[in-house]
Amino acid sequence: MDPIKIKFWGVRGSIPTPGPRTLRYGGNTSCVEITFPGIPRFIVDAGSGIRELGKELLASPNPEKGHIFLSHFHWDHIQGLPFFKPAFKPGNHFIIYGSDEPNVDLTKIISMQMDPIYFPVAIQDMGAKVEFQSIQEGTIDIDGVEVQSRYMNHPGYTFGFRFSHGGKSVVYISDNEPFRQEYTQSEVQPKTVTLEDRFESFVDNKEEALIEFIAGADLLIHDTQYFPEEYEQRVTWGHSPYTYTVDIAVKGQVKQLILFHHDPDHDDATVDKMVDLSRERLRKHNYAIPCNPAQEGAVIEI
Amino acid sequence: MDVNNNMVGMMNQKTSEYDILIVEDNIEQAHLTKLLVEEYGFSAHYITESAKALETIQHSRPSVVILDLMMPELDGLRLCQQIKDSDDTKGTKIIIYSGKMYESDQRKALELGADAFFVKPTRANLLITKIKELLHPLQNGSYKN
Repeated sequence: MDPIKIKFWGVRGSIPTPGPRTLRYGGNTSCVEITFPGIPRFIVDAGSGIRELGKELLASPNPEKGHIFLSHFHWDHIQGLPFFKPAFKPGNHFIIYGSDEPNVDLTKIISMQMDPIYFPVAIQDMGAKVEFQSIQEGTIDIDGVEVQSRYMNHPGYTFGFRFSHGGKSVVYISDNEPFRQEYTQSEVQPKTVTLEDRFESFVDNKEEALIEFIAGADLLIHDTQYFPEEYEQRVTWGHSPYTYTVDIAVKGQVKQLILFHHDPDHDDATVDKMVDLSRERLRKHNYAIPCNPAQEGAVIEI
Repeated sequence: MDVNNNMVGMMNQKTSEYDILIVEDNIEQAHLTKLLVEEYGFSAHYITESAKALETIQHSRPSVVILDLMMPELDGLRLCQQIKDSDDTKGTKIIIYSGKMYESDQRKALELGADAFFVKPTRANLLITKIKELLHPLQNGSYKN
């Protein structure tokens, strides 16, 4: 069977970072294309990287169809959508998947960023057929691809996705943070364990569910925004230190790890350092898998 | 009908079967929370399937619901909204008890009508104090201190 092809169009977190400091790994925000053999393309997130993908699709003489999955609606995951030219081309067909908010449906969430206050072209001006499908945590089947969505630890409704087809799977978790564990890590267990002690020391870190979600994946693309010392200053910012990412990759026994959502303040050399440390940590776990940084334009086949 | 029950008006002409319902997909967390609140004199039940929570609340009329956020089937924010949007359950007090520690999530929960938000793991006395505070107008605060 032909391989699944994963192409990185945007790998940066938070805000685009053009310039000489990020030339090698790229400054566009999150956008990953996943192509399954014989099936319309899947696009995960619509950060600024989707603009370049759009230029490639425009070159096609044939009508294009695509499934666009939005992990959440922070700017770095949707800001490229108004600049995605294939959506303005009649004959094309895109389906956008994401979560409703309790009082705002998916269509409105996407439309709002194209309100005339913010952008001169309205979503109604998109000439392609553009549909919206709200999703919650669960599993859907699209053209034989099983798509599992799972809430991650990040502000608001933020999904991780697992795409499975032909016995292979790709997991995309762009924004995720460890749950707080300070009580279990720092406090000495009292001699007499009261019910209150048990209640206060119980950590519902949902890690078991996360490990189950990523288990055995052929490729894990995961948030690796921080070094541990940075993370200590940015707990509750919704992102992971590389140490956590490596550890869950090991626990989940994934077959390949891509470090994703690079911090906007990390230049190429800093990303290199993070990769070195991640590989070193994998060696300490005695777990030998490919581990690389997400890089704009790079293609992985599995 | 027991006209002396102060919850009658609050709970739309029906008495509560118990004080507190815990909606929590982690059964260990749910059980621990139930034991804790029972130690302080409250009656409590828990369910781990959030999709059945609204029906359970409509039937059992708990005064307080302790609600997790990240749950399969139906997440806590949407459930909070359903409880507060329904005429026969909108008087139910809601305490969100979640591992999510983001201020934006807390603001959203409060906007949707939640009465309190605690990040896991919290101090037992803070949770108990809040429950007493929410129940006080209803039950004269006669619980174990």
